[in-house]
Amino acid sequence: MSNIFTIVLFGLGIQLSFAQVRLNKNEAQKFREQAMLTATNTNSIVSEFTQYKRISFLNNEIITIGNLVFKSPNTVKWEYTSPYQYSIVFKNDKMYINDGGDKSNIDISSNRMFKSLNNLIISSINGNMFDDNRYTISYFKLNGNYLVKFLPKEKKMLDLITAFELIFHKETNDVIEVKMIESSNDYTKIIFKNRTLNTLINDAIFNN
Amino acid sequence: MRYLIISLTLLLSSCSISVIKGLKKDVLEETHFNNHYFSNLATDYVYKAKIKIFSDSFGGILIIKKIKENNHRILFTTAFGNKIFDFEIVDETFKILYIIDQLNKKPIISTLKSDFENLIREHNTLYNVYTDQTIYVYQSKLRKGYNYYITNETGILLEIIHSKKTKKKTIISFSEIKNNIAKTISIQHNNLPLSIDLLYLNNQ
Repeated sequence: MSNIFTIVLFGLGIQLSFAQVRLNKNEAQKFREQAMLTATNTNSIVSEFTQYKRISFLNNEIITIGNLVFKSPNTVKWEYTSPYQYSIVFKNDKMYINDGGDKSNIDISSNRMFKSLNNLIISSINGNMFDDNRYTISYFKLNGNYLVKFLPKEKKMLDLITAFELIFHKETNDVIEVKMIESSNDYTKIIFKNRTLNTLINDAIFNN
Repeated sequence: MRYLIISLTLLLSSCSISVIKGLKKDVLEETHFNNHYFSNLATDYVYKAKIKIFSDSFGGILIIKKIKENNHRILFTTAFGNKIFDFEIVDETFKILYIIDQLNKKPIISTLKSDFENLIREHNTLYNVYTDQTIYVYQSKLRKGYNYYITNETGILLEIIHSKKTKKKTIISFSEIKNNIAKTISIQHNNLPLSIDLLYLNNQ
């Protein structure tokens, strides 16, 4: 009986590994150019998202839901609506926080941690992370879409995040899922839905 | 002279143990007070948290999990899921698994350590009990100070007050309590501008 299990599990393992197919050099280059072009041509993004936080010692993932508004080049509103109200706006080197009505702001121009957080958010949501100096990048096909793995090279970042995995839509080449994996194998996974690009954004939405 | 009298009055009043003021010492029937709020191995205790330290405010998620008997993990992350601190308490030992540079300062760490130890400590040896028949104050010793566990007449824990000698140092208040889970928890300090407000997120 246990042999049958082993065979089934082994079979599953092969299937799983086949689900993720590495792109060859030409395919990777072609995809990368298209994704970078999509990022460059993206002036705005409006999207809903669901965030899954996995922590190894918890029984369940922590699920939060919210909305994202991005306006090129670097203004972002990241708003959680359930199960609590909390929003952050990154605008003009400042981070404006509205914690259930309690407002505060942080100057991030001199704060390395928040500045890199801001850069990461912006570059991951519009898929513009293709920096070979900072990441070792590998490209895969996954269920028809594209999976790109970014392994940070900087020691300081590696302490926090061992990998970023972005899934790009097979036709539109924009980011539909972001996964940040920590050294403990815990992760934060954000899945975007109802994403619309290049609509007109009223700046008042960034008054937090 | 008038200011001297006012100062002396203030000094004297702050010296009295206000926790048990007006209460009568009662017969201690139990040897221990058990704090059940973080005692269930099957529960993920996930709270929306607001930590204020001086003028800085850190919003995020505080996760407390009992891993096994006398062993808890306490993890605080930003809303995005980035770690701010990660502590482990095993018996009397407090381990820092991770803390961001901005908070990696002795007075902050020692306050957080004391707060979380007071918050989750499950079995507490009792020395005295005081009551007026509506509230009960159970006195327990913790290191150089005392912990007072304040319950209502049905035994529901409403407050933990940590004091050094005669001064209240930390007040932990529990409210909206159901099935041994406090939906809101507030931790305030009398000697430090550090406060923690927690709101339970039911993610199960």
